[in-house]
Amino acid sequence: MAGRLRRLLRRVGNAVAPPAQPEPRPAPSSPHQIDVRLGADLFADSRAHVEDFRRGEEAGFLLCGVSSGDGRDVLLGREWIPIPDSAIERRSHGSVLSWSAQFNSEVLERAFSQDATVILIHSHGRSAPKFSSDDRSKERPLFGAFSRLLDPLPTGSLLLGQDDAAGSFWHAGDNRLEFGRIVVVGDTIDVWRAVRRRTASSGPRRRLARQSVAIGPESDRKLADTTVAVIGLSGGGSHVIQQLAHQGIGGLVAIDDDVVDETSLGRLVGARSSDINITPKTEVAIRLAEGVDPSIDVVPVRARFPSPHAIKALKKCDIVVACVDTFRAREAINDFCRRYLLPLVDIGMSIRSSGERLVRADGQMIVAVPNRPCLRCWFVTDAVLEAERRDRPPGYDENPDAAGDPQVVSMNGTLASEACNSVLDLIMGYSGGRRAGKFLQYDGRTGALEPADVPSPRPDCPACAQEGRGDPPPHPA
Amino acid sequence: MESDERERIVAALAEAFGAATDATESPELPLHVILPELELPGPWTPSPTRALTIWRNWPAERPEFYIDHSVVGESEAPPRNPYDAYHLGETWRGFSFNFPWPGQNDPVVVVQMWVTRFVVERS
Repeated sequence: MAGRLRRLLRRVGNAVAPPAQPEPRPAPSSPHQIDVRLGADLFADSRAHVEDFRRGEEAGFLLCGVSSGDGRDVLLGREWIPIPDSAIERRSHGSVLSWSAQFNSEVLERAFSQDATVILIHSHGRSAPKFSSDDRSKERPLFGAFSRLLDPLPTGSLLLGQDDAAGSFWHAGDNRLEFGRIVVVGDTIDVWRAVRRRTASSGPRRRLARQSVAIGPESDRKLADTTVAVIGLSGGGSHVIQQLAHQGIGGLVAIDDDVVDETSLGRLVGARSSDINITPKTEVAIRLAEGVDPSIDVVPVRARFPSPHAIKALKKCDIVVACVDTFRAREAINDFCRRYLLPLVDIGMSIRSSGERLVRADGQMIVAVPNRPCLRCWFVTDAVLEAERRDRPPGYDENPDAAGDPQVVSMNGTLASEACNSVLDLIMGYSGGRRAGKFLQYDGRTGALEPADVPSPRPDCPACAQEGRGDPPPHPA
Repeated sequence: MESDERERIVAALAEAFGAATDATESPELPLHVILPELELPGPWTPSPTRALTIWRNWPAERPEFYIDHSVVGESEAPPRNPYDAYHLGETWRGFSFNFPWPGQNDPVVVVQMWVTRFVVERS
């Protein structure tokens, strides 16, 4: 690899003196969309740099992990690398902004060392942005070569507007990838669409009229454009599915491998006696959601996290709601969400009974977003995992004879409602950031629901260290 | 686990199983070792395949052992009592298998004991 890299680097897009144009490879057989997802802080850093025009145009590279999917790749921002003034030549060789081939080489080497790819970002300071002829002339030599070096990862260029962007993306020398949107994940989810993708709205949904009055006229479209995954469809998850459907979420991914049993009737919203031992919980979820609105796109995944089928479906989501029983499952879901920069809303209840009366009913609702504390920073600690591993070794909960945890449907419903409020807030931002990165503590006996302090992100958190890493590098086979 | 012990384990596994890679993603995590060329007895396929071992609380506890998710036996089924586990950003196949653990610290022997699972189920 090193020799190939050195040879190819000699040819790589020197923006000052472009090399010969490489021969294009055959185009992918089907159109492929590229989206970009990154944390709000990283996006703020990149905008602060490229929207500072005091010296003229500025640019930089966003180092990205990749989430590959059917027909759509998402590039996941990991690090912002501004092009330093020392590497820049302005208005030379007929170009507004050029930089050294040496800098390109350094960026590529950084990408290689992290199994990552890069996106060039700049701005002209205008909305409805359009690449200039100067941009286009630099692009082909630069990304024609970059995309061959980074193959199979896509690469390309983003031109930021005001709340929109233009994108040009490449894979293995081909430039026919279609840019979709930038998703900025912070206290809220902010979407910058590709300029040409601004389409007319299909009109407000009358069924959401009262909610739209409450949380804003934009809510209808934003909710319709959002896909939320719910992992675990029993006591908590069935409430969540039902409320998300009523709220107007456009896409739901419902994940559970289980079938309704007799005990489900005590806690699973939507379950009927005729479902016992027959109906998968995913089918109940579909029935609940489509009963509210048949146009909701419900994807049932009859599997557990982390089955490959579940992982594939989750990569298409915007938000994950976890309603699972074990800390081990929470650890894995949290790890996944950090890697793919997905906001995670986690709920759980722990009920203790003396056998005759309720002794404790402690619940939590946590919203974990990139660059804020994750579940592994403080809640799902090594000690907690170790204790659970002793009590319930891996595979224990797949045993059909394993005892079920005590549950009360109405207490689950309280936490599920707060989870759905947090999903709404991630999309609409009405709390002013007072939910993201926060922890709500629930006492099911007294009904008290109180925000609790969350520690700062743990510098040595193993999950946060993988933020934006996306798909794993090909491990040796 | 001290770095000397990590290196000793990886070197011993590499020598015994053809290759071994320290794939630990963060110093906070226990040692993760990928065996990229682990031979399985027939009818298990594919073979050789990848295995992942996680050396948590070693040597007081035996390492966790996972195989590539694609491994199946004669009837295209995974080993009995399987479960999925998410490590290193991908899904691995775990399975329950009891064997006596004397607490000795030979990493090759303990991996060989895990692999006997595939001999037991075949027969």
